[in-house]
Amino acid sequence: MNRMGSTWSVVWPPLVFVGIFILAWELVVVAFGIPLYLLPAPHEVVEVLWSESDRLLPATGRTALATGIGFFASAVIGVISGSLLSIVPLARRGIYPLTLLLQMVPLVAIAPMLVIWFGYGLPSVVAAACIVSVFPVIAGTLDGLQSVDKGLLELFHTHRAGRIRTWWLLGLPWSLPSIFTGLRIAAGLSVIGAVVGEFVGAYGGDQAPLGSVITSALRQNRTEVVFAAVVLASALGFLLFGIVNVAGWVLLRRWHASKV
Amino acid sequence: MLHSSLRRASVSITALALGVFLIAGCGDTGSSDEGSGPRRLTVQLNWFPEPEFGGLYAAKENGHFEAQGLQVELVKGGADVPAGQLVASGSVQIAVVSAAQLVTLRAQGGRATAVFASFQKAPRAVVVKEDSKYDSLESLWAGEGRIMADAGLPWTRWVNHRFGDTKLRFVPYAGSLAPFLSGEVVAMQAFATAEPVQLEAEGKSVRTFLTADTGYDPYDVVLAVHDDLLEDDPDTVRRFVTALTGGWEDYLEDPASTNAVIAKLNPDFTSATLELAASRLPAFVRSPDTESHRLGWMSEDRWKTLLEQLVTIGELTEERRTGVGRLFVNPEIEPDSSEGVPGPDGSPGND
Repeated sequence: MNRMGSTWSVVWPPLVFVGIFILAWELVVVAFGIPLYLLPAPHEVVEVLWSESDRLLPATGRTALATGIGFFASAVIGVISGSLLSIVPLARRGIYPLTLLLQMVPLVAIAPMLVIWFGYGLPSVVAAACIVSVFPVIAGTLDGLQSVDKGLLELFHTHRAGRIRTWWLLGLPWSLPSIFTGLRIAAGLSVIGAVVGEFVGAYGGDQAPLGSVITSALRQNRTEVVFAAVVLASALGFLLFGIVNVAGWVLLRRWHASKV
Repeated sequence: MLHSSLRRASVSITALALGVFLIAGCGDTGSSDEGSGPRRLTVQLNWFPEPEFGGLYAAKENGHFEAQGLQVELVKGGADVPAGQLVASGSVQIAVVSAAQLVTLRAQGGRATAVFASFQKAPRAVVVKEDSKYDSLESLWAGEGRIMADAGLPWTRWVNHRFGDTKLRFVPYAGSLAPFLSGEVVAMQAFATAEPVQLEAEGKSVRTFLTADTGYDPYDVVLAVHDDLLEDDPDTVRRFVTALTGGWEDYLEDPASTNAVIAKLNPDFTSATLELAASRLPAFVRSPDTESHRLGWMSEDRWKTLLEQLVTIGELTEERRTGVGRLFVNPEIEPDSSEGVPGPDGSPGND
């Protein structure tokens, strides 16, 4: 009972604010007579979500697939690279500053190159999702591994545990909270990366993911479709964020204070 | 070539973001500079500077706008610059749009009206390589492979309606010819007076299939003005159209000097390419209507046909069709610019 009460106390404030926001949006559109092609009212977005669900839901599925693969790749690549950078000091000093480039690269500028390198469809979209979301995972992993308790490291050292063993048994568990912080940031970024990748690299027509739906709808002045697709993309981001949080809670709840 | 094409692609994506931003910040900018001096107008193009805007650039370069008391700024567009929304909302006074786009905007409460049809025959086309096994749009549509085009646009839906749903896979076209040149795609959408000419200039022979030949032949390049400008200041619109008509006459007669300007603005085009493109323009810009009236003149029948076709493909509902209202006007122009610039409403602007 107490538990349910505390869940509710977390959930209601954002819900109330979302409700107020949507209501205000609806009122502004109606009161100022804003035409559909400029800003659709929330009810028009909901209508199109319903009436075009046969097109929008498969599109969401395609974007979800690319986002999921891209995010998973980021998680794996991020944790492995972060660990390597931590274990090899020279690499940390030489390569870590360069990984910052991943954070700074303007994805829209290189997206057309990704199409040339990886081809149309899923591969280039996954690459886009991975490129923008991998850095927070690398940074989170490295930060965690760098901050392992010195006393515990001494203990592993005196027991003659090798680097790999120390990493596996001490470093990685110790770093989980900061790895999950990185993954939470990566979750949202991977959706953005996928959608931008889809702008230039994805198939259209009856194989269109959300990014292609958005560009096509923009050119046809179907602003309500653009908003519907954006709502679905945001929902994907929330879902992935939620999955990461649940995974973090499952892994950390027994022993760590930062459990969600 | 490859690099500039890529740059164009990335520029157009940036433009998408920028365009959305511009619309969000839209306001009534319809009337500016009511004081003395030339009347300022902004024209938003819907693509990179290319021969299809030749009349506009010629009118600017050869002083036709100036002679009409206008100071006109031509703003280049790109794949995702929402020129239609910008003019329908009044963020810019004039924009180059397609007739179909204008219809869908008006059906949603947009306020813009066509005043000049640069192209009398739709230049919208699909190109394939010369050695392609496809010898018509119909055979291509029955084929397989990738086409660089937007699947949702009215012309693709019309072609689907004519030849049956295609198995071709659609990939985005953001302005780069590279995927077509490398064979990643078997076909691409094009303007008959632009991409095929660029490709030929690169030594690539292509076949061009016009959508006009399938019966879809709307006014594909029209100048639309915001309704406030048309209603509050019809004289400015008349002067604009007068100057533009003069610009197009110049460009068709001798495009060389204007082409030099376009080539400077769009490095994807060389003067030689532009010359070749310009030589193909008369077939699209002139028509029996322009012979009996003037360049840019539009007929009621053509607009009606477009409305029917848009209803046929489901782009426009019958219900919305009735709400579209006035789609175009043919402003009376000065028969000869030597008569000087009129200012019956006292508008300043003579120089």
